[in-house]
Amino acid sequence: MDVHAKHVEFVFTAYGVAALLLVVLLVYVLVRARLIRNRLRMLEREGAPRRRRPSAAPVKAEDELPA
Amino acid sequence: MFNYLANPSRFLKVSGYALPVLAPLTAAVFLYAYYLALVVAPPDYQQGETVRIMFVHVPASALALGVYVFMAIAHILGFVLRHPLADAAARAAAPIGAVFTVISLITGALWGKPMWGTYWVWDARITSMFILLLLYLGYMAVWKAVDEPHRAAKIAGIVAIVGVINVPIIKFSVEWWNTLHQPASLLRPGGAAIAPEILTPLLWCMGAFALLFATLLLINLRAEVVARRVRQMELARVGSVA
Amino acid sequence: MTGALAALIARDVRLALRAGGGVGAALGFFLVVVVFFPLAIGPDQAFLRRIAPGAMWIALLLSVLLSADRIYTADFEDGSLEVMALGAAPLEVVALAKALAHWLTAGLPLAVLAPPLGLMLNLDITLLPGMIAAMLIGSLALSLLAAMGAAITVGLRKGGLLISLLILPLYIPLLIFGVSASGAQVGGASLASSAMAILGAIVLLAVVVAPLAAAAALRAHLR
Repeated sequence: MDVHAKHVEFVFTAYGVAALLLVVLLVYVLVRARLIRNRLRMLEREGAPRRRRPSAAPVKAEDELPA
Repeated sequence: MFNYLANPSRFLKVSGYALPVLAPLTAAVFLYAYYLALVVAPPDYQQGETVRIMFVHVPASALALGVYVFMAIAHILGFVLRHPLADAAARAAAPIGAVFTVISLITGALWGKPMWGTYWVWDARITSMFILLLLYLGYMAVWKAVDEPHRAAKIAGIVAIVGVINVPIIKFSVEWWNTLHQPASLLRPGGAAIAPEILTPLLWCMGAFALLFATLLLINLRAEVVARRVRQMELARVGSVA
Repeated sequence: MTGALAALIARDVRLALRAGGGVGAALGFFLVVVVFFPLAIGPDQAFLRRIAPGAMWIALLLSVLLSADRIYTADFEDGSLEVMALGAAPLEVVALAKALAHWLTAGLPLAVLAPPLGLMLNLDITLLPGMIAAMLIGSLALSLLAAMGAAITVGLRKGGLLISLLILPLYIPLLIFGVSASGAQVGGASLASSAMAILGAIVLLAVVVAPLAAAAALRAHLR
């Protein structure tokens, strides 16, 4: 493409803004996934049970599925 | 396959295999698509280099609308089939769709300035897109406002489905309103038939955006599944202390 | 079923009238918004005449929305809503009754009073009948959607803010066709009547969809 064409700054700004937003989205998604996975590891290390033990009242099947 | 993946652990396993394939594929298609868009595609005889904004604007707009429809369909499947991942998939898709909408609006404004001489016109399509952003924000606010996940999924589903019923009505009403207040005639992008040397890169760019959505959705959905497991473990721990 | 509907509407209207606050506050809010338009835009009579129908519609939307928050809150907090959910009448009928009661106590009085108040904004007096008709029809849909939003946000923190964010986008078609049906455009009578027809169609759609969605939301909240 011709980098000296008329209005070319609008093209650069548009691509720049779009790329920036997509990178922010990507980082947000990755960081969120990482934080949640770390929390799971921590809980597993502490030996937390996977789910409430069915003591008196048995847990409904629907509640067990992380739906 | 749909039912096979209903088990969250199985979903985590399968998506764990899919992601290492999908992510590099997305990156590769992105590079090729924007090589086509920025280097190979010729400048438009009327719009010059500015036409290249289209290669971002059109895929982002199409996906912005498509993701909202995806969310509504996912919620309908959640209501009808009680597929445990359906509501989570809709929730995971929302921020991605919202960012696509913002990209569509900003690139549209930056395309409008050199073409129409103004960043914003109250054109039917632009106005509808802005309202779509409001719908995304409302949907995400519902997930934030309701604490209990089952309940939040139901309420958010109602919001998404009512929203998707309204999108065509809003579009129609804004078009009606726009014809009443028709401003000076504009040079409309995409008015003429698209030449193949422009269309091919555009289709590649759309494919790249669609793949990006799939990749991000998968990562976000995996996080969502793990988050629910974490929540249950935390609840269980509180329960065992009490 | 009709008996339950009528009884619920009568109960809600009586509550709104005797407990006070609701109707009066919506009306007072409406007056304040009407005063704000000339203060913000300037007292130019010709310009005010042009924006008067639109301004009245915006004031109507905001007043109806402001009073939406209270539709379910009290009944949810004191447990009456659970009694209604357990009753013989389906929750959809309850939702419809609640919406109609809201229309009778907020939408209807505002819709009748708004056009005469428009004279303060130099509204064209020949527009008054059409505008009253459009507001009467349109406010029914406004109330139905507001009640749906109230059902979705009942019992939530910051429910009032959320309801605005959820419902205002859905009000856009009503705003557009309502203003058109009020005869604000230069287009003439034919345009106003077709806008009125579309307004009616939206109301009918809202009568079907809004109680269904509201009942589904209430079930999720009461589970």
